[in-house]
This record gives sequence, structure tokens and C-alpha cells, in this order.
Amino acid sequence: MSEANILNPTPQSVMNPSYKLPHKDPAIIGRWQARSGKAFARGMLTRGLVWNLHWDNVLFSTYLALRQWFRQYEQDFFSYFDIDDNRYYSGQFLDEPQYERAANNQVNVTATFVTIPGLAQFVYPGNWGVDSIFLEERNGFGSDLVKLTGTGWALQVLAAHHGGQAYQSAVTNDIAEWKYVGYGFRYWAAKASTFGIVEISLDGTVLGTVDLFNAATSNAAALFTQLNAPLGEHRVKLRCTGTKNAGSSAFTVNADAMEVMR
Amino acid sequence: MPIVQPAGTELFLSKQGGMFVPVILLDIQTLDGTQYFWSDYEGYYPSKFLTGTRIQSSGGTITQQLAFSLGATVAGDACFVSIVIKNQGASTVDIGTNGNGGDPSAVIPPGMTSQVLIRGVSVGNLFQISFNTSAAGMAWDVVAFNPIGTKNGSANLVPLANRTFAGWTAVGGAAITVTQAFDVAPLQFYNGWIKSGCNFTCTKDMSSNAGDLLLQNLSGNTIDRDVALAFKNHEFEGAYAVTRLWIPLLDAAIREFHCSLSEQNPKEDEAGARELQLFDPTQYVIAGDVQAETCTFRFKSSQCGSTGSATSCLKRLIDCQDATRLAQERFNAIITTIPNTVFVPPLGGPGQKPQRPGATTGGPRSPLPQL
Repeated sequence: MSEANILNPTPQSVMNPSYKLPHKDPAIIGRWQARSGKAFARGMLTRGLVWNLHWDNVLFSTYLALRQWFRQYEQDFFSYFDIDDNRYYSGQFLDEPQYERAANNQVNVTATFVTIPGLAQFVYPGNWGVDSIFLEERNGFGSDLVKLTGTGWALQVLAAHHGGQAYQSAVTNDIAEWKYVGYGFRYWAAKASTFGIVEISLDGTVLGTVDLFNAATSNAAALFTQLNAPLGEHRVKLRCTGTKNAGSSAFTVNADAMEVMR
Repeated sequence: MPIVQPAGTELFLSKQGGMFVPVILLDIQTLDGTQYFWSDYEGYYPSKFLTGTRIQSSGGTITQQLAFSLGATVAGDACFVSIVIKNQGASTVDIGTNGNGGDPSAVIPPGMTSQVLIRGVSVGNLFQISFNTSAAGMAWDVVAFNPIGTKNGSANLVPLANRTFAGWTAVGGAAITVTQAFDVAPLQFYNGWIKSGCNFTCTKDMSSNAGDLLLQNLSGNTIDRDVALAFKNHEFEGAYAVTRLWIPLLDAAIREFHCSLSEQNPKEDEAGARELQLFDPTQYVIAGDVQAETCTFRFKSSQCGSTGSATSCLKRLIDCQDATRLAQERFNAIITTIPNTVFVPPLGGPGQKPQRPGATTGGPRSPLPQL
């Protein structure tokens, strides 16, 4: 349970770094634009945040402790607590902590912490609406973001859908699939009297089903939440099950929007 | 390599002091007939491949007046129709698909130019592209080009010979007049995918003219890349490509290179291809093939050429000659190799001693090496 080993578990911890704390969001999106025309972008890489940490005028014993953390987790990982953002990040020190003697028994220490994809989290991020972004079925340029497999998919424009439109299918085993870089996700869709049951899977593992039936049409809402997903490149898949609530008149499912945690 | 320069272009450009920026326009037709239009400056330009066909109609007893059948469908087939229309008449024209679920259609009012894109799911009807009017017998007048119909992601089901609307069927007694190469063809949309291209080296003997094409490979949905998917689904090796340097100021091309594509190379974020000039066969890259007694062509590919009713092939000559395939003129296997008819054995004939190296008939012999 390396993620349970937290470098700075409380605001009072002597291992909390000093301000100012520069951090870097690595570029994970590949972009290109012709001399004229639309811009093209695609999630290309899975890299986590990088912090250039420093501890100013701390006891030499603090340096020794940091060095021990580096050595202990050189082939392992631990958690860093970003107090201001209230988020935990799993990773390791990039290199040996460096120090300079600042005064008698006092040193200035520097170290770089890097977030590593694919690791379990002490607490998975759940600050929806702030740290998350939406992947609609299409982007604003009109290009599909979702990959559709099967013969039944058709775009439906309806105010109740997230963003005003969604792909729909009532054909059993039709699949809609998004790829994203991040942590967990939430599935957003509208409900209606003609909607059936959709199955949701993440990276090939079935997570559950969602009944999209509602007697009255309701606006799109977060109907399924998967919090526990490590930082990485994920594929979330919707499958039309061909089943429905007894009250529903059809099997239609929606590929509407995914809210993914970054 | 053909180079086309509009009359007066050189003189005009020489007086502009570099005040022009050429746009690269690339028209590609793959071996299965699929066409692509790419540029480094996204927009609408006249296509090299396509000229508009003027279609006029009058009379008739029903609203459907001109149609082309794309074959039968079964319920659930994903049908797609694309066609560019300029309605220059006085009445509305409706493009129908028939085989699509609920027959989705697109209406083009008078005076409008539109790239019609219709997607639908078949309910099992005949799949067709049709020109309809709002009332029976109404006269209409359009310029149309590039009709495309696909089923379940297939290649274009409209044969090359019918893409100029030749061979389409007048319906309900309508009097149809088709004028080819009409001079007000609608413009074609060129996707802004080209990162670089048109770096041709023009030599005097035309032996080394070739260019490198570099495309973005980022667009697409979150899983599939557009360019990589096109390379995967269609036969780009040997595809015909026309590269033009287009001057918007002049509305004309100052250079035009006719090439074949080769060495496609899709990478993570970009894709490349070599543009080989048509006149130099030494630059063609032919994939290595094996000598075997069975044909190595993919059945019903362009190289195979079979249009028979068979759905599979055992790759033997007898299968190729069968009436359900009939493509034996392209059969590429070596049927039988008889021993000793091709290769000269290293030893002499029966009862003969091996010839020593250097041995000749008559004259002094070379001394044998000491053993």
C-alpha cells in the first residue's frame, strides 16, 4: 500500500515544502493547425504533474528524512499531499534531494516530485466541475469524439441531451467508445420513456449498467460515476444491452457525454 | 512530368515582387476509386478530378425524377450518401436515399450550393440516390458532382462510369438532359491536413522528380485517426495524386505535378508518403512477392480484377478460370516448375566428371591447385 505512505500527511508536517511551489502541467495533447482552417488535437501522452519542491532553512535531519524517502521509494512510490488543492498524488522523487547549508544545522533542500501514471491513489480525485472536463459525442468543429461501432447509431438533436445532441442506438451490442487521459469519469445522459439499459465498461472491465428509463424526459445528468481509476489512458465503453425497464417502450441508449477527471 | 501554367502567369508573377503565397492542393484517387482532397490552406477550391454535370429535368408523373440504384440492403445497414449540388433552377430539389431508415433526405432551395451529407440506417429497402421535386412534373436545373454512396463503410458504390450521372435512370417519364463538364462546377472542400508537400526536384531528364508529402495524423475521434484510418481502409500504394500550387490571387495553378503515392508512413502525430512521378518506373516500389503455385493477390482486389459471383477463392488456376471468377489473365502464380528445366545442375550429366574451374575446350589448361 505505497499510496498510504504520505510524505506530508498534515499541514503541520515538517515535510511540507516551502512556498513558492512551482509546478508544471505536462503537455499531453498533440496539436496542429494548417496555415488556415480548423485546429486538430488529440490526447497523445500520459504524464502527471511535476513539482519543483524546496524546503528552506530546515533542520539537517529534514534533509536526511527526505533522502531516506527518495532511497526507500526509488523503485517504489509514495503519496504527496497538495494541501492547497486538497489532492493526493502518487509518484516519486525524480532524483536525489539536493541541499545547501544555509546556517548552523540548517539547510535548503530541493527535490522534484513527479506524478506517475497507473498507480493507486490514497484518495482518488473527485472535485467534479473543477478538475474535470467534458468529452461530448462531437467536438465543436463537428468531428466525432466518440468511436461508434454497430449499425444503429444516429445523431439526435434534443434540448435534454448534454450539449443539445447525442448519438442514439437501439441495436443490441452497438458500442460507443471514448478514450481519455485522466483519472475517473462520470457518464452523463438524459432519461426518457423510450430509453433502455446501457452497460458501462472501463478498459475492458464491465462496471455496471444504467437504466435510462424515466416516464418523463429529464435533462442530462451524471448517472454513473467511477472514481477509482488511476492516472492513465482509459477507454470507457457504452454498450446497448437490448434490455429495458418494463415501463419503457424501446431499447434506445445515449452516447451523450463523459466528464473525465484530470 | 506535366507542368501546366496558365497563359500569362509567369509575366504576372514576375511583376508582383513575391506578393503571392501558393496554396498546396492535393487531389488523390486511390486504387479502389475513393477520392481525397487535401490542402495546407483549408477551404473550397476547384477540383482537378471533378467537373460539374448540369442536369435539367421537366415533365414526369411523380416527384422522383432521376435515380441511381446502389443495390439492395438489409435492415440495419449503415447507409451514407454525399453529393455536391448547386441548384440554379427556380424550384426546390430534394436528394433522397430510399434505402435509409425513414428515407432521410436533403432539400436544396433555388440558388443554394450545398454538400449534401445523409447518414441513416436502412430498413431493408433498395438503396439509391434520387433527385426529387416537391410536386410531380416540376422542372428543375442543377449542377451536381461527386456522388458518393457507401454501405457499412464500403468503398463508393457509384461506379466510376456513373459518377458523371451518365447511366442514371429517368423515373416517371421525366425528360432528363445531362450536360457533362459544365463550366460552373461547384467547388470542392479541401481538408487542411497537409503539413508540407510539393517539394519536387525538377531535373532536366525527369528521372528523379519526386516529392515528400507530410500530413497531420491527429484528427479523428478519440480512438481512430482519420489519416491512419484512410491508409488502412483504402489502397494508397500507387494511388493517383495530383499536386497543384494554387494562387488564390489568380484563381489558377502555377505548377501541377501528377504522381503516384508510395511508401505511406503513418506515425504517431503525422503521416507521410512519397510522391513518385508517373514517368519514372524505376522509382516504383514494388512489394516483394513469393513465387508459388497459388495466386498471391487478394481476391477481388484491383490487382485480382475478378468481378464474379464467387465470395472466396482458393487461389488456384482452376479456381481463377471458373465462371464465377473469370480473372485468369491476371493469375500471377507459377503453375508448375519442372525439375532441371530452369536451373542448370552444377554437375555434368550422368557419368560425366565435374568440370574443374577454369577448364576450357582446347588450348592450354590452367594448372590445378595443389591439394
